[in-house]
Amino acid sequence: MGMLSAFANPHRFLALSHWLAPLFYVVGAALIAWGLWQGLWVVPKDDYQGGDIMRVMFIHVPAAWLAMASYSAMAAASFIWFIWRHELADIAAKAIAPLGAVWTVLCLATGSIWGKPTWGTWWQWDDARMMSVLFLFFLFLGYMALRAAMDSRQKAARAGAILAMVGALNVPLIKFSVDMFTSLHQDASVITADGPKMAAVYLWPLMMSGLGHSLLFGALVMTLMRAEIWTRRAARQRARLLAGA
Amino acid sequence: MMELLPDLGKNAAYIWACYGLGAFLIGGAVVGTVLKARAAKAALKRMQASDEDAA
Amino acid sequence: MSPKPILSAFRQALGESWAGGAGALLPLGFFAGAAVLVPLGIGTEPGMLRAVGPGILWVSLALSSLVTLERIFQADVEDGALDLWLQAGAPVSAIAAAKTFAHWLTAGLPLALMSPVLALMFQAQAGIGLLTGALIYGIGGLAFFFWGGVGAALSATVRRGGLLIALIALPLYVPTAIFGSMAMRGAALGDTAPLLLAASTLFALAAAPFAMAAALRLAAD
Repeated sequence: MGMLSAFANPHRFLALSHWLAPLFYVVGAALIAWGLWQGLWVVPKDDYQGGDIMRVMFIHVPAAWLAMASYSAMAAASFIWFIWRHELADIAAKAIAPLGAVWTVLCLATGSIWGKPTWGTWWQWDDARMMSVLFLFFLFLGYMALRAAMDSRQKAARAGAILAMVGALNVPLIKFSVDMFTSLHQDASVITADGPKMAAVYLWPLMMSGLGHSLLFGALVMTLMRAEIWTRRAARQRARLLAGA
Repeated sequence: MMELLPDLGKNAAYIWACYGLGAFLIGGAVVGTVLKARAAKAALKRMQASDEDAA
Repeated sequence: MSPKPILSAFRQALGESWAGGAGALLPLGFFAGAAVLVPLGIGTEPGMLRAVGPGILWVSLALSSLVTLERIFQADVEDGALDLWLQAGAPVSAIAAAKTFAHWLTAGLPLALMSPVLALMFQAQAGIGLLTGALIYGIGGLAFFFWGGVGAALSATVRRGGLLIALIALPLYVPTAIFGSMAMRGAALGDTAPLLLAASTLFALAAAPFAMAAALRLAAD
């Protein structure tokens, strides 16, 4: 609870993120670079996984991980805000949404590019993972559009929190229904890049890339949160100024 | 310069497209985020300066 | 808590949606129009129409629900009815559920009842399947209306919120659309698809009223 209360206080958050965000940027970028070097130069191609094209996984799989993790984080922050009304939780949810959407698009686009030489098509309706991530993207879009349509910060926070929680409640059902939908078409030959039989030579660069993307994502969220805190302070200052004048 | 790049076989174009797109999107997110934070901080500074002027 | 505010909201919603849209004629016309556009767009080959027909009807049903839901809560915000419920301590989730149900009765159920006619136009076999089809469209439509109601409640204070409702609700429509069209095709899973559809509709009935109530409390502030 001590750590959590540090995050509940904007002042302490600013002090913490002042050094934590740069650290995450540097370590995240270094890990991504290492994973990139391993993935493109060092690891051997895996003919079982379609040859060189599997090298795409060192960006695709971290993007898929972040697409899911970021929506979960946004829903968790929304829940915390809705129950305890910690302003910082709303600031976090607001910051996560556009960044989560970026990584979700990256996941879809790299999956699509990977699909072309592998399946012979840019878009595979029968692939449950692609469909689930696509609907995740729409959930992010709806969240951002709803917040943008509200006329006050407080309303944006409340509406956003309700929608994020409704979305999170529906994600398992969406996932289940999409799995069921795609299992009707067994002829689709889906490669299992994230299957259990992955050799250690791929696993390490993959995990390090995943960690690097996560740290970079965390750094970006912190930076956006700092921007939002400053913006809200400036707005309060302006209101004070107008009230005093 | 060419020998610095790995030989990625017949699907090299697809692989480079993925990483190029990743660099573009993530780079864009970093630049946009940092610029937004800078603008927010500058706006707060301006506001605080005008507050002190008023006081 | 007395059921009076719930009943009166239900009656009022029935009246509004019945009178405000020329009875069930407007949603029916929209539903039929949306469905009939498709053969004009993709061609009239009977085998193809038979294959895509159930799917077209699902999409038309989803679109019709979105169109009819746009103003379901806006009037309550504007004329102060919402404030009155809140001041009286009325159960907002039950009122929201009653209103949404009333809209389904006047704008969703008629579409399900009309679905056999459209299905025949899409070259479906005449028979008992048309009636079970109507039942399936009715159950699925109920889920559409309740999730769409969440979108409508969230955007009740937004002017021209129609597109916002659509963007919010469409991902929530996915399970119903999938289970619904699987149930219609009677494919692979046999009898489980209608059960899954019913279960996901029950889930919508259980969860959506609370989200609508939370959103309406926000709209009243």
